[in-house]
Amino acid sequence: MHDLMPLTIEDKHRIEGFLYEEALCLDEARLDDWMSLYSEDGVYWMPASPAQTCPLTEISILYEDQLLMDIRRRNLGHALSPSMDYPIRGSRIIGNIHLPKTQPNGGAIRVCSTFHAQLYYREETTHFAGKYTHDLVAKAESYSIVRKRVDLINADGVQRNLLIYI
Amino acid sequence: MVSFEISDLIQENRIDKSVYLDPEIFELEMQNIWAKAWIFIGHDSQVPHAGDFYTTDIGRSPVVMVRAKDGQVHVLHNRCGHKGAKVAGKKCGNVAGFRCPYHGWSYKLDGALRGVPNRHGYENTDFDIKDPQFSMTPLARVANVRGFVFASLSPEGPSIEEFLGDAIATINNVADRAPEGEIEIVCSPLRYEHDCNWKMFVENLNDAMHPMVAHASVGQAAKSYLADQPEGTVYPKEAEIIFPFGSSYKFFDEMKVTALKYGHSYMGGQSSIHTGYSDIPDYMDAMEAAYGDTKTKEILSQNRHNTIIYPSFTLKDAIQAMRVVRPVSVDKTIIETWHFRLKGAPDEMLKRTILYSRLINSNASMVGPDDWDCYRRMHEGLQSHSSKWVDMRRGLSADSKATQSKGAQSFGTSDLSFRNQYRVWAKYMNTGTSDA
Ligand code: FES
Ligand SMILES: [Fe+2]
Repeated sequence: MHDLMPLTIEDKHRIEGFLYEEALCLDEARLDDWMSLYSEDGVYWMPASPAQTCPLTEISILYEDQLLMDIRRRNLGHALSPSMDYPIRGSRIIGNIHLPKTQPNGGAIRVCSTFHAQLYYREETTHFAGKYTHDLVAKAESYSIVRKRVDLINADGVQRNLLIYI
Repeated sequence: MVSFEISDLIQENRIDKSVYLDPEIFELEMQNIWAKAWIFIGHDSQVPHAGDFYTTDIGRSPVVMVRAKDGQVHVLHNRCGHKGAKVAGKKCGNVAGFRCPYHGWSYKLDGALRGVPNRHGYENTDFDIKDPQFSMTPLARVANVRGFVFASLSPEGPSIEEFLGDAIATINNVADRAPEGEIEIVCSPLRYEHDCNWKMFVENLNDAMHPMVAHASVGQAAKSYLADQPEGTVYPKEAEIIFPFGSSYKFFDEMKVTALKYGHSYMGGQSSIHTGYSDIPDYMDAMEAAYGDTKTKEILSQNRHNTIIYPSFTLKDAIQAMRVVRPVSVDKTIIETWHFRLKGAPDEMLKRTILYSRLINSNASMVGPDDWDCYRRMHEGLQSHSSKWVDMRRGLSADSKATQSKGAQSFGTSDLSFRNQYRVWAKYMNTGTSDA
C-alpha cells in the first residue's frame, strides 16, 4: 500500500476539472473527444457484478479498449442501426471525489468518485448510479485515463439498453 | 372462459398478432406451455456442494435448485408449506436446511418439513409433519442431462429423452467439447430486460434474414475502422466475431435450418457463423490428449448455430454461453446469458466466449440493442389497425420436400422454424400437450 500522494490545491482542481471534462464529452456524445482522454492502452470497464475481479474470464457489461471505442464512435447514430434511430441524451453529475488509500502500483493516480447519471432514450429516462474509479497518468498539463471502472449499484441486476458509456 | 379460439390464430403461413399482444393468451401460455413443457432450470455446476442452492422461476412460479447431502440435485417449489411465503430469497447461497423467515418452519434440503415452532398448537388437528402438503414440494419431474437440469411442473408428458429428441446432440456436443467431458458455469449471468413478448426473442434465434440488415451498422463501423488503420495492421479478434453477422444470404441459406419435434430447431450442423474462428493450439492439444485425433475431429466438426430448446433455452456448439428465456408478462421478457468453462480447456477458450458475449449479448453491446429494438418495433407496429396477420410463409413450398428422419430441413433463411414453433404452440395451447 502506498501513502497518499501529497496533492496540491492545483492538482486537486486539475483532477476535478479533468473528470468534469470527461463527463461533459459523454453528455454531449462527443466520443472522439472522449476517446482522446484515454491513453493508447486505456480501457473503459463496467463490470456485471460488484465482486468482479477479472474482465477477461468473467462477463462485463462493457470492457472496451481504443479499438472498440473507435468502432463504437463510428456506430453511434449509424443510419443502419435500428437502435440508433432515436436521440440519446445524458446528464452526468460527479461528487465525492477522493483519492483512496490504496493506490495502484506503477505510478498511476487512482481517483474515486460517486456519480449519478440520467439517460434519455426511446421516451424513457433511466437513472444510473454508482462509483467511478479512474486510474490517471499525467500527460502534459492534464491527465490521461489508463482505466476507468464503473461500478453500477445494480451491476448484477436486470439491465436495460445502454447505448453510450456512463 | 377465454375469448379466442386457438385454431383461428394460427394459419399455415401466418399468425394472428394477438399471439404476441394479448395478456389473456400470455396467461394461457403460462398454464399450457410453461407449466407443461420441460423448462431449463440451471446447470448442476451452479450448486457444486451440499446445501448450495440457486433460485429461479418457471414462468412465474418460483423454484429453487438445491444439492442435498447425498449429492442429489433437487428442484423444489420455493414456497412455504405454511402460508406460502417464498422461502429462499437470495439468488444463490449455501444453507444447512431451509427456514422460512415468516413463522420459522424449517425444511430439509430435499424439501421435507423438519420442524414447526411452538408445535403443540397443532395438537388434535390433522396437521402431520410428514404430509407433503406442508413441505417445500419437489417439482413433478426433474431431469439432469450432462449437468443441464430441466424440470416440468406437470407430472405427465414426454420423457426428457423423447422431448429433446435430436436437440440432445447439441447438449452432448457442448459437454464433449470439454476435454474432461463436463462444463462448469462461471460468474454471474447477464440479465437483460426486453420489452417484448418472449416468442419474439425465441423466433429471432433462428431468424437468418435479420443479421445482415439489423446488425449491418456494427460491421460497417468495424470495416471503416480497419480501413483507417495503417497497412499490415493485424486483424483484431473482435473482427472475427463481428464480421460473420454480416454474412450473405447465400451463406445463411447454405447453413440450413432444421426443425425438430416439440418446437425445437437449430441452424447449421457442419458450419455456422462460428466456423471461421481460429484454433487455439493448447485447446486442440488438450482435446487430442483426451479423445484422440479421430474423435476430436468428430466432436469439433459438429457446429450448430443457435439450438432452440423450446420454449426456454438456447445453446450454441462453439460458444460457451447459453441463453435462458424468462417471460415476465405479455410484453416483458428477461433474457439471461450464462457462461461456462469447458473443464480441462485453457482459459483462452473462455476468454473468447466472454469477448463474444460482451460484443453480442450485453445490453450495452452494438448487437443486442438492435435486436431489442426490432422486437419493440413489432410491438409498436402491430398496434396498427391495418392487418392482424404476421407473415411466416417464406420457404413454405420447400418445407415438405425437405423432411428427414431427424427433422424437417430447409434453406437457412426459411421461416420453417417459426412455422414449426407455432404448430407446436397451437397443440400446447389447445390441449396442454405437444405430441410432435
Ligand atoms: S409462511 Fe412460512 S412459516 Fe409461515
Ligand atoms: Fe440479432
